[in-house]
Amino acid sequence: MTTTNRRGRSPRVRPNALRNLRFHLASALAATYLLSWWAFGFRTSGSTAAIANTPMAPRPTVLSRRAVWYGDLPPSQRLPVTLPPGWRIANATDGIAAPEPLPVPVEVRVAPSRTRRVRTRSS
Amino acid sequence: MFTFRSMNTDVSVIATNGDEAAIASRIAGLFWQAERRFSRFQEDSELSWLNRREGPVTVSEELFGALSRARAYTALTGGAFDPGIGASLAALGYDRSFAPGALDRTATAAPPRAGSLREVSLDAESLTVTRPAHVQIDLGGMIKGATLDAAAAFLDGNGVVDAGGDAVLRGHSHDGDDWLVEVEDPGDASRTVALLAAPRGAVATSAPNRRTWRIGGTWAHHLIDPRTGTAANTDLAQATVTAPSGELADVFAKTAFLLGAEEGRRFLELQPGVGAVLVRRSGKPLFVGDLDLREVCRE
Repeated sequence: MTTTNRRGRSPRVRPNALRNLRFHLASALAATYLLSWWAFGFRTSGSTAAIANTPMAPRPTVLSRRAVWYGDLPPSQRLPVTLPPGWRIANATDGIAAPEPLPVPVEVRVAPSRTRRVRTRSS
Repeated sequence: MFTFRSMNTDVSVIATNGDEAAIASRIAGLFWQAERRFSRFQEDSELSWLNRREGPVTVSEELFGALSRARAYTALTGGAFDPGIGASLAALGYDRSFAPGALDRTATAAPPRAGSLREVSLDAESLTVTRPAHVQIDLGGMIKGATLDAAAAFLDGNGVVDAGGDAVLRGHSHDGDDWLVEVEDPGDASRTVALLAAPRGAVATSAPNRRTWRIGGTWAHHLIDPRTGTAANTDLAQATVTAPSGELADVFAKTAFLLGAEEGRRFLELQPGVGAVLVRRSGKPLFVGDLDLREVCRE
């Protein structure tokens, strides 16, 4: 019987079928790649550019708003702090140049006729 | 005569009664204290501290008083005088103490949102100041005038304190004559526009001719028009005002300069005890109000 004969034959893959399988596999991979590229690459390029062109937002100011110099707290709110030897609490004015020293007037001798006069001008 | 340097200018003291050296020392101390509290350029001054803080803050009586007076002057002058323009000054390049060439630059920052002292709320009960972030305060010349007024109290009725051309004058000179005030020609510092017998008060002058700096190919100056937020451009080259106090003389000189010749004259004529020499850009002087002119050197 034909059936018997077929059952007895070892299974064979025809060359055309293998070519078709490779083609479909390649097509599926290519479609997946294109779909992925479209979804994550091409489509997002516009918004990426937009983000790049957006000015950098200021860093969150939560810390600066919640931070306070110890010396600026009212004495009643200052918690006792024990510092390691050699450490000290920084002041808000640390790093700021020392104030100008008190000016010392110097005597200037001028002709008596000039001392009557003040010269007004912009300064 | 004794001199010292403060508020980025030369201060001279002539005291015809008492120990002139001791009086000059006390006055130097006053100027030093005022600069420590009110300077926009000293980072640890109380004013700089206020300009950095957000939200309501309690300030000293001295600063609160100065802000209250400044706001009253803003109302009186219709906004021509307004110390809320600190951000405009800084954006224009006046962001540090002036020295020739020190402020020169090729371009300026974008003009900031215009600020006004009228936007600052002042609570006299608690000495609390609430300043919107865009309002930076620069009390500048007004404080120089106020310090001159305080200094005059040390003169014992006779003498002069001159801070870079703004001065308070009391009594008479050593020989018993009136003090005389020379009004400098803004176009030529070696010349004088007019000679005045000094009033029993103060004199102050506003002009853009000394505090100028380069921005690219143009020039900027420190007299900001609060109405535009830019360096003022009027028909005046200089405004000199005599007034009962140094503070008023400074405020009115600045106001007159910003208003221009005609509007400035009309404003000054409404103020009691005030006189002025307004010098137009053409060099022609305009004499206003209560002046004892001894000599007119330029018609």
